[in-house]
Amino acid sequence: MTARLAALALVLLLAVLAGHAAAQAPAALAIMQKQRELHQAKDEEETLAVKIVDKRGAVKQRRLVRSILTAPDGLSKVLVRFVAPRDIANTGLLIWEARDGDDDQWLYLPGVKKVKRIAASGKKNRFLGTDFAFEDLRPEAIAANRYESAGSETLDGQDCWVIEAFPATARQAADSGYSKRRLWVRKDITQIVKREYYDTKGRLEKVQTDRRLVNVRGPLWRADEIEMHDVQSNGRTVLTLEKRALDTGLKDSLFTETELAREGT
Amino acid sequence: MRERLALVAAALISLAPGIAAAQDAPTGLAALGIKGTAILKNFSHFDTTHDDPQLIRDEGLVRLEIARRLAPWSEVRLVGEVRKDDGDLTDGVTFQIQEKDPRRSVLDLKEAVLTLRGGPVDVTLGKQIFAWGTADTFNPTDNLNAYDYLDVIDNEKLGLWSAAFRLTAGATTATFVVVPAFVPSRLPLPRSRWIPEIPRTFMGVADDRQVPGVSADNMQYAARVRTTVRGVDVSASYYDGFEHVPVLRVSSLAVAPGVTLPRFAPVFTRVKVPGLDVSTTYGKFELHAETAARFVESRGRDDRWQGIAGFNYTWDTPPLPGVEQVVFLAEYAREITLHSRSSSSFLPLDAVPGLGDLISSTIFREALIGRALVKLSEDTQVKLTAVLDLDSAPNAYVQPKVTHRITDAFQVEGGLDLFAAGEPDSHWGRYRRNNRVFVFLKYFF
Repeated sequence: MTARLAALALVLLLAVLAGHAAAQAPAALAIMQKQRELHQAKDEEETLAVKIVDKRGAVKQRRLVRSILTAPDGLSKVLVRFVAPRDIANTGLLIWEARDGDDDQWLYLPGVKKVKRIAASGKKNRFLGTDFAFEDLRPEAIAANRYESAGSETLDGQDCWVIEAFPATARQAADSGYSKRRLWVRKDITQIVKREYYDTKGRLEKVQTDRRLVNVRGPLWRADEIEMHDVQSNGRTVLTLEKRALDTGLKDSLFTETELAREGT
Repeated sequence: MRERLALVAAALISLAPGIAAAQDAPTGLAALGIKGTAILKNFSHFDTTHDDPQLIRDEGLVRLEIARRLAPWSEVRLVGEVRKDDGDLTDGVTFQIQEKDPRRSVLDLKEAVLTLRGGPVDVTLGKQIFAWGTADTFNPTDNLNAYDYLDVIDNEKLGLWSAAFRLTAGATTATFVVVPAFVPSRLPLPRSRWIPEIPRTFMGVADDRQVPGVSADNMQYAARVRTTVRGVDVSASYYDGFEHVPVLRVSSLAVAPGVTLPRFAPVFTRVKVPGLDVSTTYGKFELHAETAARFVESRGRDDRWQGIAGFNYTWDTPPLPGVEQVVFLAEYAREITLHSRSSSSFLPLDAVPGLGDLISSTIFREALIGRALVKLSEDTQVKLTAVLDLDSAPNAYVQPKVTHRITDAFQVEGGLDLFAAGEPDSHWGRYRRNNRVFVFLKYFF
């Protein structure tokens, strides 16, 4: 009788745990959807100073402009263009977000004046010597990830949900450089403030920390400083905001091959 | 000349550490919005050739670039160059809409583009450089710009005075280009090491080339429609204009009663070139293909079909010590003669070594191209390029090259140009006495 009761208790416990996990999954997804909806502007343009510090402490400075346009269907187009230093000036990256995460990406190299489509595997490559991979520069692809709740934590005095993100499909897993990401989402403003990136072997690879959060308008928040720390190579890249403009009416025609290849101002 | 170039190099090296400060607070030209690049090139050949005893050639180049937004809907961009070399490739100062000088100008306006925008329409006017096509090594659909082939390997595109109209709608862009004045490619100079030896027994009369003049009949046009559908980039293009490398028209010249000599006149073939290119990705591969048919409209002999297809593959963190990444490229190029006018007075492209064939795209009549870019660090990479010509007896061109960024402002490149194997009259075998070491110093300011 005791054994039966113990078995029943175990079954009930497992059922409760399973139910708890099942209940958490949509909650995590809902949080991620909410954070994306809340913090998405119609269009946005930022000029960022990029400081790259390698493991020996050598410092390199870059400057880039990142433009984002979000269509009514919620999908974004992103144009990233380096403006300094001179040897990589005008190098650009264009991303057209796809709902399944299988984005179109093109790279423009001014030396050969050519726009080249980048293969899926290229998304995990580092972007021009920074600690950011191409895939780190795209908006959070909700449909391309499976989100699970990992509880709550206090981070820098702020109560946060901790959410784990996994590639949703085998194809996404093959295309991504990460097996898992842990995301810290501030509960008061539903904003991601920290990301941990785990490599394909499950080891912690990079930590992204968003600092100097500012309330741009309404529920929309932005970080004026973002640091990506590669804990494996001990390199760091710090993006510092120099200029930001929201909803200025960026045109869809800015996010084309023609504009990607345009050199100049 | 070499001493002067060395002095400039020393000055550039001494200036290089100043870049960090220059980035923080632009001074000098940078404060005026002018970007500059200074390049010193040294080519050291292992052999002299029949007509060219010079083993070492030095070249200095300073390029200045300025871009200004004139209005929210308009901007201008100018790129000017000052260059000099000790190989007699530059001569005086010239400014021509229709560039025909056999040598480079010491002062040159490389690009001058006025851009006007209005809604989905975009117009660019001025001296422009276009780059169409998806292949890496050779682009059959890229026909607008002529090339400077004074150094066949270290070649570069020539800017083209033109007007381009672009209409963008979603993922589709349509481009139409009008070129009022034809510009021929700049060919290797007579007696240069890139001109193969003509047999001493050969007798004939060579006329000056006949460059099409500037007229309504000689206007050139090109159009391209590019779109992206389900992860595939597709472009259809059309070019109605001249080939930039001449063919030889043969006639005879009576020099005495009963004695005639062959007479050769370099002329430029007018062609119509429909083309198509595609690019997509599959897993870790970027796949591309490009094709064009070259139909002779006048002054030519053969209608030709050209195609090239290949892939790029990126190998991240390979298990090789000190290697961060390797990017592989492989391409196969093929050309087929669709129709030959056998009674034509124009010589086949490969009939006379040294003119046309050797520097035209027929070098890719049947070729395998391979490239491995080995990234050792963000600052250092090694690139190995090989082009294997399968058209005649296999012959090849191989270029190993190392690029190292000393600072963000100062880079050094060095490598070898090797023309390997093959018969002396094969595509690459003809340059077998041009094996060389090259070193480039680049300073960005």
